[in-house]
Amino acid sequence: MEKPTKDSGNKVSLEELLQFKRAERPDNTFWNQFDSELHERMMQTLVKKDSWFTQISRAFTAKLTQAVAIGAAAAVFAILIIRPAFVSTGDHRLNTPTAIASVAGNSIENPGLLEMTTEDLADSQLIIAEANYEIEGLTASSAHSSDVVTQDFGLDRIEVASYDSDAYSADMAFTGFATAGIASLVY
Amino acid sequence: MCKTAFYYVMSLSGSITKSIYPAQDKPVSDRDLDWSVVQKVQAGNVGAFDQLVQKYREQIFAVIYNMTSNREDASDLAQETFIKAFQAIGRFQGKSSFFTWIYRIAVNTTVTFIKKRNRRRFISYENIDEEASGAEILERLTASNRSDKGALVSELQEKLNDALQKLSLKHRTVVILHEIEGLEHTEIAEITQTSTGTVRSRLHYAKRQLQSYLQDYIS
Repeated sequence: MEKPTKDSGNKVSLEELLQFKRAERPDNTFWNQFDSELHERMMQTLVKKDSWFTQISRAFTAKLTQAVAIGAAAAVFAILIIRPAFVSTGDHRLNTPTAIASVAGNSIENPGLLEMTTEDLADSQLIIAEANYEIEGLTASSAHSSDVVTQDFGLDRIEVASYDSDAYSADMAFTGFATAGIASLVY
Repeated sequence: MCKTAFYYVMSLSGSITKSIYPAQDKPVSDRDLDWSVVQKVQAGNVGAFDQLVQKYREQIFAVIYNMTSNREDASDLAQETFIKAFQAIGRFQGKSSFFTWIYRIAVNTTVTFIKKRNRRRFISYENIDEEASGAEILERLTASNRSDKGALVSELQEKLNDALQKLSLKHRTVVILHEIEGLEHTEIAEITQTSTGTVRSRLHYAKRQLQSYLQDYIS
């Protein structure tokens, strides 16, 4: 229990004391000035122009947004339209009658080509490259090809890997690109 | 059958109308009055905003003044509060009352200002209305302090502002809104976006702190 002081009867509670804060009031002059300043500031906010920095950053943001949107659209277009087109073009190229005819024609017209590459590797690097290309083309459509083609692929691959490492690595690179569907662009 | 359906539709439309519009026989509350003014402003009647300024400017100023203890800062911040409200009034949907909404803007604006101001403190007092401060309380204090009334009022004003400034922002806000502005716990909870329990707890702590700072005057 608190020890009563001699003046305790005249003291007040905290709530009563805080009433003094309510009595702190500005006069009418203050409010007139307040109103005029407020109106002025409100009008300023209505007509206020942005700073040069804000204007530049806003313009830059708009350009950037536009560029990003166009880039994103182009990427989506490339992924959804161009890539499947190339992939399917690769398949079609081998499945079309012309392609099949040309491949078959090579084999028919020049049946000794593959045999020549396996026998005379040291004579002509160019012929090796051609032979590799043809075989890779045939590999992609190996599921639809005859047994003769499969046999050729097997032989050639072994020969290339054994005798010419440069041709082999080029061949592997070609295979990878062809699978990704960008081979035509790169070549 | 058709008649029943007609009455059903009528009663349904009546209940919907009641839920949207206040009943005509009820006295129109402050909240509804404010909302109608807000709708006018939102509809493009910008001049109607002045009604809201005239209605709340003293309360808003008082809250900010008691939080900052500086009349110039309080004037600036009160104006800033109304400008912010004016700029954002298009987004005000009437979910809370305009009164709590503008108080929240005022409190947040002031808190941000005080935090930026850091330790820099300029105190400039507002004029005190001696008649409004309670003659009986003043008499009792004058008798206990054996000093003249004018000196006591100045001293009291200084001590009260000092004591309030010693409180943390959270406690100061709650004690000002409740003890000086006379707001309910629920209203303070809505303004400060806390629970009523938190408001009560902060109020209790703040009053205990103030009692220790002002023990020379309090019984």
